Amino acid sequence: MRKINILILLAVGFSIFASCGKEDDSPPDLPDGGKHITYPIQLYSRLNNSQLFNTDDFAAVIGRIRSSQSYLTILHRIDAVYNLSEIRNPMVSIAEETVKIPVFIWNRYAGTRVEGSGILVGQTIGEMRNIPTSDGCSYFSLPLMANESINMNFASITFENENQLAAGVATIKEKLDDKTVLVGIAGKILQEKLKSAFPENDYPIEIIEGKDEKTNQIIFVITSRKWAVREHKEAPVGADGISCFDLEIEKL
Amino acid sequence: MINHRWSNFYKTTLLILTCFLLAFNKSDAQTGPFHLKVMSFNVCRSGELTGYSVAPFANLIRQYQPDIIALQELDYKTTRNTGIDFTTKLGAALGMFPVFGRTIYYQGGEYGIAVLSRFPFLSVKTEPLPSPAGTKEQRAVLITEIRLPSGRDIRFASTHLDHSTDAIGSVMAGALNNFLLKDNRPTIVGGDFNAQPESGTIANVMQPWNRFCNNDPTAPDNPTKKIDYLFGYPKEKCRTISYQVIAGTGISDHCPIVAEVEFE
Repeated sequence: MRKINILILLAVGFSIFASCGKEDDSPPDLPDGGKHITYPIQLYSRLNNSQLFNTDDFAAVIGRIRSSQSYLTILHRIDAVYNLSEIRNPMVSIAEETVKIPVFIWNRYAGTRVEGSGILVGQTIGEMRNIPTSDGCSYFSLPLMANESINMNFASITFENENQLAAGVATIKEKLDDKTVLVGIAGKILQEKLKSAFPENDYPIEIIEGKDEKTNQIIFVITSRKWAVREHKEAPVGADGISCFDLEIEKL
Repeated sequence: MINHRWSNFYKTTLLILTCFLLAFNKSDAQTGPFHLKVMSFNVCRSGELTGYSVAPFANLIRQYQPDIIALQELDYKTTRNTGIDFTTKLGAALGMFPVFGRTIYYQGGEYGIAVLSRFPFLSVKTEPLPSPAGTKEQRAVLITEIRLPSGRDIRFASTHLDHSTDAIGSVMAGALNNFLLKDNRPTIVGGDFNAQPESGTIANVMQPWNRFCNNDPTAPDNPTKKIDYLFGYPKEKCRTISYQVIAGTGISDHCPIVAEVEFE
C-alpha cells in the first residue's frame, strides 16, 4: 500500500512537472536583444485629457516626428473642428508635413469639435475600424501590413471613467490576438481597476506614468505574449506641456 | 386681464418646452431626416493638368463646400507625381479627413481612389472588384462608414469602373452592389463608372439605386458624355435637393459633380 502511495505521488509530481514544461501561456525567455524586431511607437500627449494643441503651432511635434524613425505615431486628443467657417484638422496638417498617412480615432462630438486621437503611419491602409463601446469611447483597430500579410494589429482605446472601462474590457479581450498591440490611455484613478480587469498572469500589461505629477492619465500597453515592451522614455516637446513617450515594442 | 396673462404664461412655457425637447431629443436626431452635400470628382491622373498641384483642386472644392467627396485617379508617391501623397495633401488643404484606397501598385507607388470627409470615419475598407477576362486594370471600391454629428451613420463609397466593355462594367457594378446593399443603412456611392446612362451597367445593374444626378454630360472638361454618377440607397428613402455639373474647370478631363441630398 505504501509503495502504491509513493508511486501515485511520483506520478502526480511528474505530471505536474511535465505540464509546467509544456505551458503555452508562460512568457517566452526574453532575448538579450537584437534577436527580434523592435517597433518604435511614439505617443504625444499631455496626459490630462485636454487637447494636444492650444494653438496652431505644431512645429515642435512635427520636428520631433521628422527626426525619429517611428513605426507608428499616436497624437492623443488631437481634436478637429468640422464647422465650415472654422474647419481645422491638425492631425491631417501634421501628416502632410511629416509625409505620413493619418487615421482618426473617433471618441465623440462636442459642439462643432470632433474629439479623438490621431494615428500616423508610413503606409496606406486597406482597412480600419472604430467600434463605439460606450458614450465617448471607441475601440480602434488598424491592421498594419508587411508583404501583403498582417504584421501588427494596432489597437487603441481611451478610458475616462469606470463605465467606459467596464464596457470596453470585453471588446479588448475579444479582439486580442497574437498580432495585437494595444496602446491605450486611462484615467489614473482607473489604474487598479484596469489591472484587475487584465490580470498580469493572463494579459501582459505595461502601465506607464508621466513624470509630471499634475498629469491625471496613464498609458497602458496590452499585448499577447508574442510581444514585449522593451523600453519607454518620456521627453518634453516644446515648452507647452506636451510630452513624447517613446515606446520600444518587440515582436518575440 | 388675469386670463390673458395666464394664457401668455402657458404659451411661453409651451414654447420653451418644445424648444427644449427639440434640442435634446437624441432619438429624433438619430432617426430624423438629414441633408448632405456630396461630390464626385475624377482628378485626371492625380492632377496631371495642374502639374500635380492640389491647390487648384482645393480652391475649386472649397467654393462648393461638400461634406463628403468621392475621388478617382489619385497617386500615392508615384514617380510621375513627384512622390507626393495627393490625398493627404488635398485633405490638409481642405481640413477634411482623407482616406486613400489602393487599386494597383504603380510607378514605384500606388494608384487608386479616395474619400474626403468633414466628419470622421468609423471604418474604411478597400474591396477589390472582380476582373473578368478582358479587364484592362484591377479596380476597387473604397467603402467608408461615417458618423454624422446627429449620431446617424452613413456608408459612403468611391469607385472607378473599367472602361473595356459594358459586360465587364456590369460584372463590377454587380460586385459593388454585393458590397454596398447589405442592409438598409443610408448609402451613397460616387464615381467614374465609365458607362453611359443607357448602358446595362447603369440602366440595369444600378437600378436598385436612386440616381442623385441627371443625364447631363460630365466628361471631358467641356463635357459631351455622361459617365460620372452619384447614387443613393435605399432608393425610396433619399432624394436630390439640388444637382450640378461643374464644367470648364480646366484642371481635369472630368467635371466634378455635386449634389445636395436628403435621407429620410
